[in-house]
Amino acid sequence: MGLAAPLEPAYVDWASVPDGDVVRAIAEDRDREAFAELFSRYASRVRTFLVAGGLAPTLADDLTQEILLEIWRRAERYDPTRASVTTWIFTICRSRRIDALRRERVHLVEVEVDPGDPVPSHELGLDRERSATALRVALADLPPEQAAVLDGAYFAGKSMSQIAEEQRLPVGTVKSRVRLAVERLRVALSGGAP
Amino acid sequence: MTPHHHVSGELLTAYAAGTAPEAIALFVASHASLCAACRARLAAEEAVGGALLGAIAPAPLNDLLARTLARLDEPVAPAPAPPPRHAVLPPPVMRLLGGEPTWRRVVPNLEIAELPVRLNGNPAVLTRLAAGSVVPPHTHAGWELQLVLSGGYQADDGRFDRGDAHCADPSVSHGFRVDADAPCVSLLVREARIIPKTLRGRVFCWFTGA
Ligand SMILES: [Zn+2]
Repeated sequence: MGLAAPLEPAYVDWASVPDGDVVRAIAEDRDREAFAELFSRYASRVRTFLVAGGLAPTLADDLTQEILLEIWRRAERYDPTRASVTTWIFTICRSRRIDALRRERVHLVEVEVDPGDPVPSHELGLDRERSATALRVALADLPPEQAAVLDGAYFAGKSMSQIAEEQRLPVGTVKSRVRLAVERLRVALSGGAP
Repeated sequence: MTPHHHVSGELLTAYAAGTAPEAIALFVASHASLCAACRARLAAEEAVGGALLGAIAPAPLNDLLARTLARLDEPVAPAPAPPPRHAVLPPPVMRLLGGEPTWRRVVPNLEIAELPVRLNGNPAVLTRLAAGSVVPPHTHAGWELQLVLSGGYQADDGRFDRGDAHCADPSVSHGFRVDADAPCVSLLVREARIIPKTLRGRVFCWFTGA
């Protein structure tokens, strides 16, 4: 053999690659560097989410590992037309946290649609990553009392009545703050259209 | 057909945040399986969870990456097969049942099939009311959630057909009449026993164990 072609694969600066392409590289090429990049972006967030939900730190470590492994294994099932990568990871965390926290035999019943059920046309063109960015901006702008109830519901995994008890508020107030917050974020998500 | 009666934002948030009890999650998922509008609402609620996750500042995690990388080649159990398709029962119910429900006749015009999930000790059930049945007016000591899966009925508070979610809080008193031409199958999730308003209703409850 003469001069060997370089065996090094093309160098990819993964840090600058958007989430969706990183997940696609995991799904299609089983690319470990892409996985390491996604890990560096999300593993500590996943762990913080689990600890906020009441998991002991060692259990949170184990579960973080399981969740990231699930992302590696299920990457080809990620559908960018349905959710941003962050939202997809959130839904995986949510199911795993339910499994881990509940003593009763409980799992999240997943929404399933019979195959062949059409996606509504107004949903087809949505850019989930772009709306996720708009949503993050809107989230940072929420009044603190609305952000606090959202944190309680989504992070601490608390019911409205538990949040009300902790924050010494009437349940109705907690419910209306959640509705106001979600409504504001929903408007941001749909590009400002009410 | 597009449903006209939807689940409340409160139930959607509880489902999206993962705080809904399993029976309520089953109800929300079953309605959403039949309702594109609520699937879109749910996607928005889940995006809120995603945004909250994304807003956490990343922090270093000692050796967790190395330990995870070492496990990437572990063998994986295959993903569970989709539940069998059913003309009436939505996929989340079929996932739970695995096959045809076991019906039990409780009164001449009502059969029920228990599902393996409970809310405050009350099992979620499928109900099949004979064509033309009348359910007497009643209130509830807690929430009552009814999802029509086949047939339909006329209630004081509206018309309900396949996919429609009929959600009654404790303040609501209602009764309804099933269409004369077809039986009505529903998914029913209750927080508490129902409270009959009439003697006829009391007899009905006594017979049905409601
Ligand atoms: Zn709906």
